[in-house]
Amino acid sequence: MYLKRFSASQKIAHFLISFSILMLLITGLPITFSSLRWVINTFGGSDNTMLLHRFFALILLASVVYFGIYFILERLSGRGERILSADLIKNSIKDLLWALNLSKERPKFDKYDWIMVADIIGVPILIIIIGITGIFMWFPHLFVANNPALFFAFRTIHAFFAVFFLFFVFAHAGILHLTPGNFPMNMSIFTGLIEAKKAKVEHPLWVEKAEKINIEPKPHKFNPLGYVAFAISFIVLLLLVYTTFVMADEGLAGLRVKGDMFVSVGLNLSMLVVFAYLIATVYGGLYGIAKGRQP
Amino acid sequence: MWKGIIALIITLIILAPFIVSINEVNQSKDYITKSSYRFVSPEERQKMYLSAEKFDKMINSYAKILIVLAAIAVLLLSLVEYIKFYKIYKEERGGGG
Repeated sequence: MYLKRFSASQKIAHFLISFSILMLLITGLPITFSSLRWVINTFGGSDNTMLLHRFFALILLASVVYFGIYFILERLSGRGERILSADLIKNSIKDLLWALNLSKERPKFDKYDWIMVADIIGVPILIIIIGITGIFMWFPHLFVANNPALFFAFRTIHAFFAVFFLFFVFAHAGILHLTPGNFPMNMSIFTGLIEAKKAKVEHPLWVEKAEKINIEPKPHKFNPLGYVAFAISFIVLLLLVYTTFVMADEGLAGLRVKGDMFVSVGLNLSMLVVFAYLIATVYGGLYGIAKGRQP
Repeated sequence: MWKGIIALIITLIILAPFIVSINEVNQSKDYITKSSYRFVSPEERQKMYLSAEKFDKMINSYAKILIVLAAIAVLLLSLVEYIKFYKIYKEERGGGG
């Protein structure tokens, strides 16, 4: 049996936001890191790449504004979901302690556990910051004309959050898709459904409230390739952590990190992984549409 | 339905200026420093530039620490969450792996 986990609006919001963030990383990071020049060349030069960057920035902003307003209206009309709970921080610490075998019992979560709440609240905040600094750079004659030197401060903030978003993508995908039980892809956010058996363990307080769908899930096959995928993702993440040390050494403004082999390898591998996630997102979206049409 | 329509209208109103200028990077057709040169004396401009530089350096000083801390935090969190999901998976499959 399945449980209905996400609404159509949530599925569309996730698809548009994740697709546009991935495209923004692909078209934006090569501006900061010159070792990714090949990406700009792939899109036919700087003009095309920047046009794509602005286009996907608009898709992202439109998604955040639209779904932000939609979810606020839904809440005002009494149909919104309760995301925050009083014991969220306490439960997050307990949950981490349980993972490390320092606590015997895992706290019981409702529909969203603490890391999902952090995603739901954190991502729009990050998008707003990166969006505002991006708009400042897009329209410099409006926002920094009186003091053009401020442009570089906004650029630093924009680049900082872009790099942070890259980390976020690796953590989000690594945790929710590459972990045992989820690999190769956790389809919940694309189909809107979750296996009842899985939900009983992960979201015990929500199971009784959820709408039941009488479809028999396919038996789960354990795929050992998941270990390899997570290991690759983790190694790239390690190289990216090293990159931040090099960036910090350079004061972040210049980001002249081309000369370092580990940085170059890490950034290029991360770009390939982001491309792979982009393809996976499209596949997930199409899969969700196909499954949604089935009776 | 009405919520979707209201949200769409507000979104279009907010984003209209950006949609119109998606292919533009310099709408004023001038270098951005031109207005500064026109209205601000060199001395004042020097003061502004120095204040902006100070602000930029302050941002840098925080950002370079935060980016390293955030990167390490994400790395460790990914590892802990992987262990957590491994344990959850074993529970879901009744102790199997």
